[in-house]
Amino acid sequence: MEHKITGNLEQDIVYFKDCFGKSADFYLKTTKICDVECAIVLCDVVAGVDNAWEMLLRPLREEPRDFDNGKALMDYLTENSALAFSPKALTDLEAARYALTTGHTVLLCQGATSALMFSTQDFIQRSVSPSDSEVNVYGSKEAFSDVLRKNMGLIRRRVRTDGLIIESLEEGRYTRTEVALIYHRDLVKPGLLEAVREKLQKIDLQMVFDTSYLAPFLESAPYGLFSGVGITDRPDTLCAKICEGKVAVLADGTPYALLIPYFFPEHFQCMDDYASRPYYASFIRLLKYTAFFIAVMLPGLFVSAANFTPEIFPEQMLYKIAASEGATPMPLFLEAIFVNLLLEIVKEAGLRMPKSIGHSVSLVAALIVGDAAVQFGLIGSPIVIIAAISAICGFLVPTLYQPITILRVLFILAGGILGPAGILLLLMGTLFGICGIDTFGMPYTAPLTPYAPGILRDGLLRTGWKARQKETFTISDLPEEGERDDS
Amino acid sequence: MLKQQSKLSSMELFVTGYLCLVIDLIAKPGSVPIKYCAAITILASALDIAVVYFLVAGITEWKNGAKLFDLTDTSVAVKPAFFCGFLLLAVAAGDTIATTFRFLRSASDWQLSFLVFLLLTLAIAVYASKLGVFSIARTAEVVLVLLIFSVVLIILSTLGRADLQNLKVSVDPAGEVLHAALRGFSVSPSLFAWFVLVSQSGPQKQGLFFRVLLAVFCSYVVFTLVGELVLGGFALGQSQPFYTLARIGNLSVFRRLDSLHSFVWALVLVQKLAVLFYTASLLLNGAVKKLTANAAMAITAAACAVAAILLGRIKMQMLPLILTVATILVFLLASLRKGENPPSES
Repeated sequence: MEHKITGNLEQDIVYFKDCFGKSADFYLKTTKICDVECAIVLCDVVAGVDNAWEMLLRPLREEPRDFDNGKALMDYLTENSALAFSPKALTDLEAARYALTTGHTVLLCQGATSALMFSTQDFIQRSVSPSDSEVNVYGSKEAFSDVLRKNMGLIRRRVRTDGLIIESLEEGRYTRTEVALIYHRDLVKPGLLEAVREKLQKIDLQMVFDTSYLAPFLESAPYGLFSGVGITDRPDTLCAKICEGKVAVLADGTPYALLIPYFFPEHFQCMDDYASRPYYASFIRLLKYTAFFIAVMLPGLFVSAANFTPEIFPEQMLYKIAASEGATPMPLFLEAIFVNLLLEIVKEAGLRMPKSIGHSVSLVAALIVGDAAVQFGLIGSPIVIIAAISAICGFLVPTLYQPITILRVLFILAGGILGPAGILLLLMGTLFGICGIDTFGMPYTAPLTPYAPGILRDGLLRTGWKARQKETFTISDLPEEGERDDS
Repeated sequence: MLKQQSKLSSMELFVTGYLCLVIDLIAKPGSVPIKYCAAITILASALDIAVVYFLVAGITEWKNGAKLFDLTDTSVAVKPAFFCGFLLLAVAAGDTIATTFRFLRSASDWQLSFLVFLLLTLAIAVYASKLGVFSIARTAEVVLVLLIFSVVLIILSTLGRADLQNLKVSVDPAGEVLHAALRGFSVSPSLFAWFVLVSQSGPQKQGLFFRVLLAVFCSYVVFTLVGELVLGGFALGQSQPFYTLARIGNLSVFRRLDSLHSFVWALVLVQKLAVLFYTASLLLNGAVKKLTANAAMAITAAACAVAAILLGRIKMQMLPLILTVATILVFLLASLRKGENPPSES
């Protein structure tokens, strides 16, 4: 039901008091401006009283003219005043109420059937700081902050062509979180934008505090191990993806943006690749691919080989493994599961623990897992070494840490119970699964497979900037598959 | 219904077809050793491949870009072709499972129940079919890279033992070539499965079929030549000479590379199984339109399981011949009722 602004100041004030009256941050002051009875309404935790004073009240105090009624004052403020603020007229009390929650100030006047809203945002916010999750040596050190408007500025500063479009949406029934849909009008893949917008508009969540709430609605397989939607908190990464024809989604209150679509090879890319020389960047990329497979398969392969095909080990290593296995009470694959789960517990504890006692975690983990357990004979040294190598390799590809962790355990189980056949079949199942993912009609494994020239340009390897100048690459250049049934 | 439109690119079709055919040259446990030298077998295989090319291309009228199958055809006349194709591919899939199991058992000493292996491989095949032909085709490209890596590694690890003097020359080449060609002639059901995929992918360039066979032939030349160069006369008594090369090859301190190679070749076998299973389900769905996709896959899995169990227990020396004859017959049956002939892309 719409509540129109009545023009009766007292009646309109009652509406706001009914909505916010019990809130400690609700600020309402009646005053006379240019001989017109007015009311200033704001939420003082998100809007600054000082800002409202400086922007509107002080200049108007010095205004020599008087106005006959509120409507005349409103007309003056919206159309003729030289005040340095950009007001917006509202006729709906519901819209005015919402404006208060976003840091705006609302000015009500006696006799005026519209209110004025103007921005006086002044809330505590985190400053722009370096990224915690995507660390780089070269390039920008800026990461997104929690404030959407500030993040928009970081993007606009980097993409200065008029093709950059930032659309505003709302998500969350009770939070009405502002969400930005960002793309480059001249480069975005046709059909992709409409598909993303349609999916976002269909979302009906109770609340949205992070872009990850929206990610499952944009993925083709929300329960799969791999996601066709990427996450970044770096403005340079987001701008690079937009300039490749992708679409980004940012939400207020979180520094993490969604990138759509996101391909498997992109997990092995970072901004440092483009600042380094091509030969080194290519080397690091290949290293990351190798690290991924080591992280996933090494513990399982070791367990399978040690239990089922020990003849493949060199003799001296075989004796050591046999001696170590003979001295421990648990079967090898249970040891592997135990050590890997323990590593995950330690990692999670290190993340959640207060920083003041966080250093104890690494000490306890090193002593207990690395030393005491091995000396006691609970677990063998080979399995600890393998688990450590696997864990370190997993850290090389942090965006794939979640699927790596799960797959690692699955490979250990497959190798320990079924041997080489288990590893083989699970690997094929994983390959089929990864290759079967489509993200908005595009293969998740592009440009690795189906093969595209981009594999040498910026997939498995990276060519130099000189070779790539004058070309405009977008995701529309990737091979498209034929008709598909996406139901 | 299973996804009917599956427009694979020429590259994807090439890789899928090549993998399904080339693995039969590498992993063939229990096969009869060829008693001829490399020169004879290479010439014989060239003759065989030429015969296969002209035979199959003629039956399917490849030149005109004709579709072998139109799965949207609901007429009763095509159902026998669909059903026979389904049976052929189900048996071939079962044979692939049995071959994979025998190969892995021969390559290492680990013990695993055949029933468990059967269930797991069928589960993977069903999973791949549910994901669709694009998943299978894209995985083929990954597996191809691994296969190329394996082959190159074998060649590098055994080249040191190669001796040109091991190459033999025959005294009666013409007769031996003919004899070897007759003995070794086969038309793999994988070829039929490949044609089903091609049918779904629209008109293809004339050279695609030729390129696939040429690639297989070139691979055979490499395998045979390297085998004879390294093994010499011992190659004649090997049922899997290329696997023997894998066993004896070493690089520096790395021994037992055959475990790595066996693993990669088993991946190719599973890839082939996925192709056969998918196309079998497709044809069953074409024969019985009322079946849901899941039902078609379940029936296909059951048929493959029965075939695998039977072929796993009964060693049929005549099986390659039976499959060859069956494949040719099914090609003929399918070509009796073809779809429209769109112009080729050549």
